[in-house]
Amino acid sequence: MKYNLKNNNLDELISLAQKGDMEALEEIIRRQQKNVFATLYYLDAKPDEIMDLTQEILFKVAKNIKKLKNPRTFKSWLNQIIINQFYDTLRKKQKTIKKVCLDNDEEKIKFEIPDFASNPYQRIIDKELEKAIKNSIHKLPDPFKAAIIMRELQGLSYEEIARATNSNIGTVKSRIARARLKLQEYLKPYIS
Amino acid sequence: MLKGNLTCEDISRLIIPYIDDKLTTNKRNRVAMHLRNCPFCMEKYRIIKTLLDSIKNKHLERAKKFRQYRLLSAYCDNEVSSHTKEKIESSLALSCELVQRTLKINSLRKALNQTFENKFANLELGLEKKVIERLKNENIFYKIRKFFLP
Repeated sequence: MKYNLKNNNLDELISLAQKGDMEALEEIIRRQQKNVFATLYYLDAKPDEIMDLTQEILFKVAKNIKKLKNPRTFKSWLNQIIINQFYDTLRKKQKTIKKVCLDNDEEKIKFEIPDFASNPYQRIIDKELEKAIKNSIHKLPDPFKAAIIMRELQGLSYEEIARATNSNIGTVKSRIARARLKLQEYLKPYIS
Repeated sequence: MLKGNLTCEDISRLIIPYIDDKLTTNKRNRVAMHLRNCPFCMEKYRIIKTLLDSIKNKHLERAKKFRQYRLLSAYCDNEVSSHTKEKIESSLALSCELVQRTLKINSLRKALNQTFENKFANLELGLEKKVIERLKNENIFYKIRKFFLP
């Protein structure tokens, strides 16, 4: 999800928000919410938790925006928050006792995002490919998953990814390459 | 300590450290001496050495292939220095295999990008109002608390 709006627009909004402009802050959140949601979706967050988690992350962004020193590092900072929050929730969940669901599987609420592609035939192909991509990404080891999502979904540079994951550029290069190799293997039937 | 001439049994224990060059000079010389005089152990040594070498080569080959892939992957993202870029482009002109690998990376990228964009193109979350509301409420709460509990 790359936004067409130029970087300095976001920079301006950030510096306004840091001075206490609520409307600028609202605009930042309006623009970033889809990104956060999509990232969590591909990081394999539980469907019934994605919305709450997205809201929690955006709230953290809103609350702490004044602490961000350099507006240019916003993307890395945002992703750091996403990743920390996501793994925090995972860790907390591992500590709590697992609950057994007595409901019938069929009654479980399915989480589907509506799809508005025009051609129904194309829609089926797209849907299948999307499913395959989602499943393949979920199968990747955590550091590879995060790196490839930040790169391909959000369009972050290697430097920004390195900053968000507290690693160096060489590591980011390797992670992205490894993730791509694995994805190529998993998606062989779909991508020529 | 091993004394006197080494037996064939000693050699089977020492053969791998000998290949890995992990023995003391004295032991190494004694193993070498035994190998020169014992065709059975020599045969054994040759088989094991070839096997280990081929495993090592396979690892090296794989590591080399991955290094190349890593470079191509970064090249596709435009994340290499201009010097490396030139070098890659001149190798691309010479190797069909490299071109194919690059094309594969690019078609993967294209598939991912398109899917991501289509998937969430029409998603409306509308969380901005909720978040701002929550922030304002929290601020008010802090102000009230500060007022009553200075």
